[in-house]
Amino acid sequence: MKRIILCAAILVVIVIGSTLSLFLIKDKNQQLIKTLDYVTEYAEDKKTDQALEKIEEFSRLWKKYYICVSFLVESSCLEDVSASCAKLKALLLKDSEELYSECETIKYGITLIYNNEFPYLHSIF
Amino acid sequence: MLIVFFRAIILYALVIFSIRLMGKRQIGELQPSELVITILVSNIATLPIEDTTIPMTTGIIPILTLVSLDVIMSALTLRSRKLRQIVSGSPKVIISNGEIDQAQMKKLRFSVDDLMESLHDYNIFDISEVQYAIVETTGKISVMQKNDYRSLTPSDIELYGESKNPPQILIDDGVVMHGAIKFLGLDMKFLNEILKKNKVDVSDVFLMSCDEDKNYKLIKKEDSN
Repeated sequence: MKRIILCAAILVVIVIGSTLSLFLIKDKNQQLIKTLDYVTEYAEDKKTDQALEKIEEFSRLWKKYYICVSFLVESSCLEDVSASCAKLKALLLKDSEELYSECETIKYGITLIYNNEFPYLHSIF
Repeated sequence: MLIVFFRAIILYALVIFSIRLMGKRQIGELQPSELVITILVSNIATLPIEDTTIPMTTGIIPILTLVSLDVIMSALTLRSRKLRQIVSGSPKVIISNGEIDQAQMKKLRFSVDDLMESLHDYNIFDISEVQYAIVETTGKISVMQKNDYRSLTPSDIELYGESKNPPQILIDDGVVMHGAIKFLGLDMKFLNEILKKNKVDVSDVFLMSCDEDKNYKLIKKEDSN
């Protein structure tokens, strides 16, 4: 009986843990996307200092997110976003138009991480 | 390299835990579902070790899920005969009254060679000696010989006696087995008396066994130079 209770508890913990991890990813994603929106907004308004500040904030958030999510997601998915993150500061200082496309790439990558974790019917089968 | 090393240690512990959770069974005695789980677990466990880009949870979660489901399923099958039949199937008789059920053998995809091989395990080389044979849900064949070929048992010659449990090991390489002492209804006082009588210390005993009638066998450790 103890064994069955233990197994049932394991299954419950897995289900709760997996569901909570989805909420965690979604919440962190929103935070990251919001920060990126500020970056593009400030960059468009030519407020470079504020945009730089937001990029720093985004980098900090990304580092935390990376550690958290690396327990759940293949690291190759995260590396692509990390590479794009590393370019942001340089692109802003160069006043390059590529900054916006990199931001969009990051947003897409982050959304993809969540979508890949969500148990859609097409993902399951 | 160290990542792979640490992952291997964690998964080794996890696989041992999982197998212990599933209970004690030999490979040959596994039910079909248990065999599938065992193969799957060993396969899944290798993935995060081989590929470090895969998170450990990708290995841990399916292993724990499969093993937990298997334990819960086996508990459910214990309660429901119908479910047990669905999951594990039912034993099939292939020889009855000395006659082979060829249709059943065909259904089970059992060849004559398979049958003969299994009979050889029972030291039967002539199929006419078999009264009854059944294919268990594990795929193992159980055989009952005809009365004329069965080994003589004490009850055949009306030699009745008391059935007793086998002797238990009380000291294993200098370590006292308290569980065995309790099982035999003995105590440490009894053990100390025997040790005193033989003029040995527990640490000097290689093996000591004892039965319910307090008949014991004590083997001292050899001097190691």
